[in-house]
Amino acid sequence: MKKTRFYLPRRWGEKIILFIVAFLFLLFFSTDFGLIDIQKTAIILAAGIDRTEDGNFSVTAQIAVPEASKSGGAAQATAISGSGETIARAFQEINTKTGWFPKLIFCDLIVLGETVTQGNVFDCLSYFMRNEQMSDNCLLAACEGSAQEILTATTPTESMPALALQKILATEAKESGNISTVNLKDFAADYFSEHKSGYMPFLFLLPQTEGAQGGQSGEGGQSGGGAQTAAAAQDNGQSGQSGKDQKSSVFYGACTAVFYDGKLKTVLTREESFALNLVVGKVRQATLQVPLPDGTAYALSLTDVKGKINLQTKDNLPRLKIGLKAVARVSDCTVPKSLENIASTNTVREELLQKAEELLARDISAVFEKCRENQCDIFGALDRLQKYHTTFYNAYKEDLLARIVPTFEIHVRDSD
Amino acid sequence: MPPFFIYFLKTSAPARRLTRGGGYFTGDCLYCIVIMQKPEKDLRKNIQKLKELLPAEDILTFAFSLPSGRECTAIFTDGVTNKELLGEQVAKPLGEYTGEETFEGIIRAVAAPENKEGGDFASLTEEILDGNAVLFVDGFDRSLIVGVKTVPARAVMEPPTDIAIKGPRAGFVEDVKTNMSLLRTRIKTPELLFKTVTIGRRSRTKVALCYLKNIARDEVVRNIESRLKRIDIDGVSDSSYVALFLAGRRHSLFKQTGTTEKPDILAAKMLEGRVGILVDGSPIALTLPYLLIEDFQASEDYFVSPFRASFTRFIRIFSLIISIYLPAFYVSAQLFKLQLLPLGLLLTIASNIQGLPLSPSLEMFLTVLLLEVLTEASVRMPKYVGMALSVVGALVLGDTAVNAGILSTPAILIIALSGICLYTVPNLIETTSLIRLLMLLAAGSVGIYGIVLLTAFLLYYLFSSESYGAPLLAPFSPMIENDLRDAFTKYNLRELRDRPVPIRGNNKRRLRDDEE
Amino acid sequence: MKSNTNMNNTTSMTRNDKHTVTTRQLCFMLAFFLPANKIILLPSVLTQYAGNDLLLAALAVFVLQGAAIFALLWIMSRTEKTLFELIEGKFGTWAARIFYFILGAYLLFSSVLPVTEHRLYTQNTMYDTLPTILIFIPFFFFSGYAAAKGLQCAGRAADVSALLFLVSVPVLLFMSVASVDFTALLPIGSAGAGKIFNASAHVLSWCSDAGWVLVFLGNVRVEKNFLCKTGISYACGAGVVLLFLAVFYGIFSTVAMNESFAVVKIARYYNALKTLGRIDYLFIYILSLVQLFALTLPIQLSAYTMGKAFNTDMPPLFSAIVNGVLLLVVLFTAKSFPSLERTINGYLFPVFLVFANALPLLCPLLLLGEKQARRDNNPQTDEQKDKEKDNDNRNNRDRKRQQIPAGGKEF
Repeated sequence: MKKTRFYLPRRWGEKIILFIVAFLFLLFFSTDFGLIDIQKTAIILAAGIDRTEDGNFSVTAQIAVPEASKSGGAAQATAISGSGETIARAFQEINTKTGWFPKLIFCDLIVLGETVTQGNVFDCLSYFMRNEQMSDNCLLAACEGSAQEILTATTPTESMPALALQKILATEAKESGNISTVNLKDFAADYFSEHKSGYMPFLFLLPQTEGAQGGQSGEGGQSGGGAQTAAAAQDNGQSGQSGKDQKSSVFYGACTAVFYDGKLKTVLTREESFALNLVVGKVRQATLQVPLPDGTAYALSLTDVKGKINLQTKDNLPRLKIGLKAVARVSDCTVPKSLENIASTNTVREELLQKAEELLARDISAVFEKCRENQCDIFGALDRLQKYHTTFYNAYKEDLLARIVPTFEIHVRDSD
Repeated sequence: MPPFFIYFLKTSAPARRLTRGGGYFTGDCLYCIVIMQKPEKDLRKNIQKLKELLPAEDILTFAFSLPSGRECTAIFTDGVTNKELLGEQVAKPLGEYTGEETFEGIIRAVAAPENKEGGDFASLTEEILDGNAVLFVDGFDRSLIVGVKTVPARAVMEPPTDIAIKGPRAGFVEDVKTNMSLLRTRIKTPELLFKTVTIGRRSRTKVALCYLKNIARDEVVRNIESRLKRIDIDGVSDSSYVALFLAGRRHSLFKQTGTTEKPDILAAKMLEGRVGILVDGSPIALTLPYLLIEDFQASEDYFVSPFRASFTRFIRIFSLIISIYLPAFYVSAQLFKLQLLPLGLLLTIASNIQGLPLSPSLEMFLTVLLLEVLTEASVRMPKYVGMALSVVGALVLGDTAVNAGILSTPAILIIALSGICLYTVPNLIETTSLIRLLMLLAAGSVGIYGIVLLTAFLLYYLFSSESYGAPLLAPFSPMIENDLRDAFTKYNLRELRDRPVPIRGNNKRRLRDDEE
Repeated sequence: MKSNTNMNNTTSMTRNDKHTVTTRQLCFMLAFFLPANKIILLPSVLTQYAGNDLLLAALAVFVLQGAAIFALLWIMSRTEKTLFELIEGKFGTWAARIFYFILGAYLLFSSVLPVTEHRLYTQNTMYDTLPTILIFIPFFFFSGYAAAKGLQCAGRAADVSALLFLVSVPVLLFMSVASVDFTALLPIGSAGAGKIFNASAHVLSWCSDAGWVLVFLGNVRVEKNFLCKTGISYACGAGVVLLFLAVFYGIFSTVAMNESFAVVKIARYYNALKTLGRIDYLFIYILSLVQLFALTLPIQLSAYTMGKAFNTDMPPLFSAIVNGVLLLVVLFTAKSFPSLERTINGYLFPVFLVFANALPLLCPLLLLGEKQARRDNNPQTDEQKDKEKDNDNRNNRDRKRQQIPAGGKEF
């Protein structure tokens, strides 16, 4: 059977190409594709969310405003608020007020105000999860008081509070065990998992004029115990609220807010947060302060930190083993020592190691019990039950936390 | 004369050769008859006929006689023929010739090493115009062509566009014979063959096809030769004219023939199996089949360590990608996808473009245009104006435009970077600068998707492009494992045992490693 | 006898280098085209139906597809005939032409969802704000151009795709591996067989590669160890998808079903991106080229089969028709992707079951009686066979001699 042959006339090809190029030129010069010019875009660096008295959401967006400059680089931040029944409506209001189209692609921080954390935070976070353009890699933080205050505060470290906060909550801080940094994706994954529990850093403002005092009280809290820190946090939070009149403030984020089913249940103290971070975080190097009965205090540098959580169901009893291994070396001491002593930092006295283990065990236990009281399965026991002990899952899932017998295996050794 | 006879004369081979497409004998059948004739015994008649055929003032005659008084006349072209040689090698020995006065005896007496007996007037006129002298001796109906051609040629020197830091520096010149000799000095094998074709109705340009038997593919040689013979044009000014006729695609976005100005590169390419084409009057040799990768392979790559060569090759490829894609990505990032820029850079750009009257795409388009204009002008302008032009271009236009708030600093920086990167592969500049513009157009109108689509389109275009059976994108597509050793990276010369697969003929191997 | 002669003529007529790919290129298609478009929406859809058992659901489809593809590869290793020729030999020319028309229509249909998915993917990956649909139209110019080219070009695209894929996907996986927790995939089988099979059925449209392999019957230059090479390539392609699914679920676990454009999202938790900007996008764009080539392959094959069905050599015309239809479908369904996806995956999945699974598995039946037919066509005595063998040997010797120039030098 003979094939019919057909080819485009030679000139057609050229005409088609010309047509395409002309079409591209038209698009190119018209620049009318419904796109939003960079100069009309509000580059949102952080969003703070509060609830108003009438139950609406109030969104405070920290927007980077580039300033005209030949050398470039100059940018200031401005915080603009909008409110509405939904987060989307609130952002729309910001657009209406300013003419800037809010873009969340660079939004790396969401601060949730106290009024929001009292309810289910996913009432507002679901907006960000739906937004395909926004990265769910953005950091989450709860705060005392309103998120607006946090984002409108003046800080001495950065011209934009959002950037200062991002530094505080950065991965590096997490790796030192000081901050319980978490991103939207991880928090959401925990929320939608079986245990529905999660945590995020808890922020409050420390006015800088009183910063030294605040800081000291913080330090005191650290050595003295957890309860004290919470109190300090409360105090400082208040001063933060009144800190509007202060010239500048610094942020304090060493405490951790623990959530169950999207609602804030409790706030862990700095020591508890530190212990939690050592177990569940990927800590590279942390500093633990160990007071001795003789009144001296040592600072131990912990490396090779390995937290381990293991759930066993021996004898029909769920046992949660929380383990922690670390290598310690002396990094500081409150009393002066001999040169030989200073030189041999790798050798840590047995007494010190024992004390450190005790301290950590106490703090981890405190975290566990605090969370158990509030139904927060922050160590993911229920998930472990489902993954590794499926047969017990249905039997235990309702009251697992109450049934659990926790054991803590802390092993701190020196590097010698 | 009966019309059918005139028609026959007009369409006869020599007449067709000279009269094709409105040659200088068209319309006058008598000329057709003359050029087909052979010389007569009467010297004057022969000279008269040649004078009629070549009426130009630079066609001179040189009359002298044998000691016996027999008249001789040499006809030659002034300026192209070496008169001294003519006197030394022809007039002087013949003026002293006392031997037997046969034409063979006279030929033997002529001291020129390059001579041959002439044919009809058509071939004689060709030889005269080519610079050789035609000698008539009264009483003989034969002629002698004496090779006393001299071409005003420049010396062999380093070509300005193909400078090597390491390696041979000699470059081709305009004379095809010199170029052939340059090649012969590098490949001293009987397998190096030259085939000469004359192209151009009026320019009568000599084009030499050079290849290595067995190493080049026979069908490629045959194909090129037949294409060369089919070229019908009035004049060939440069090898690029020939390149257009040898191209597989009439309108191709990419080069279809390789070019070089250096005999060592041509020799190396021929040793890989390529065919070289030398065109009289052009210092640029053509090579076929052409692969896109060969423009990324600099001659130095083969003279330095393979690590250095691989690194510089990577730099070349990377630079080319940067030069094509950077302006396009800059525009589309600003217009369509801010996320591509880190926040700090975005804020810098945003503060720079505050208040600019042009859209990012137009701004970049204008900057590219400005660069192209400056490049074009700097090539064309006399050297003494060049410096002033640089100052005007770089300082006045660039700086003032930024200060006046018409262009932004990042745009100028990006175009400058793109412009510099473009010149890392100078042989591809024509193509790459066009592609850069197209990319910019696609980026400004469709965005990053436009860039991706255009890239895919160009790749598909390249997939379907072949140069004399060799896929243009080889050895990447089709992937040829052996040839990848001399592509992105360059292996040690001792590991490049085989000639490139899409090019080579029957002889595959190019070296034997003793350590094998 | 007459029909056999006809068939042989057709064979020689259609055996065209323009439509032939090498074994290596087919391997690359199976290894790199196959996973390219399965890492966009497929992971989240699988998660939606099978939860943490997405790997099992995917594995089930890949095993089914593997069997179908292996059947086709086996046919390729046995005969050089195209599917058209095989059907023509069994059922006649008209049957072959009708079948090719239906096959072309199927290939076009199988492209609808991937093209629409690709549109959404580009909108998400390449634009901050939702662009106009006009932006997507140039795709059809490219697709039209590609579909007008021979299958040889598709093979060459596979060669380049191998490089692009190997540059992009490993980097993306490397960037994402730090945030993976593979224990999220536990407990295995918790979703139950019903859900797993439901998930498998829902993703049949994505895993219907045997459909396009059908067209390559007789268009592949079969080399030594063909079955082994191609089989391993398929396993690699499927393995990459499974690995990707594992990484994807390991990163997103319970929120995985919300992460629609998986390949765009897995790498964004890489720490260095905070300082360098989203460099992962560069690798995503490189991968987009592979995805484009993989996406246009069924369209190209559709134009090719249509051309065969109408026994005409009109690549541009059929390319224009196929792409025109596709453009209309995309414009028509521009705003209703979810319902399109539901319709195709929820109700029309048997189409894929038939064309990409049942048909390829039945194809070996076309070879029944082929051996006898070949013997009938070329009745050779043992003497003739010996003579032919001698000739072959002589030819080989001559060929070798030609490669060695006079003087006995090898180079």
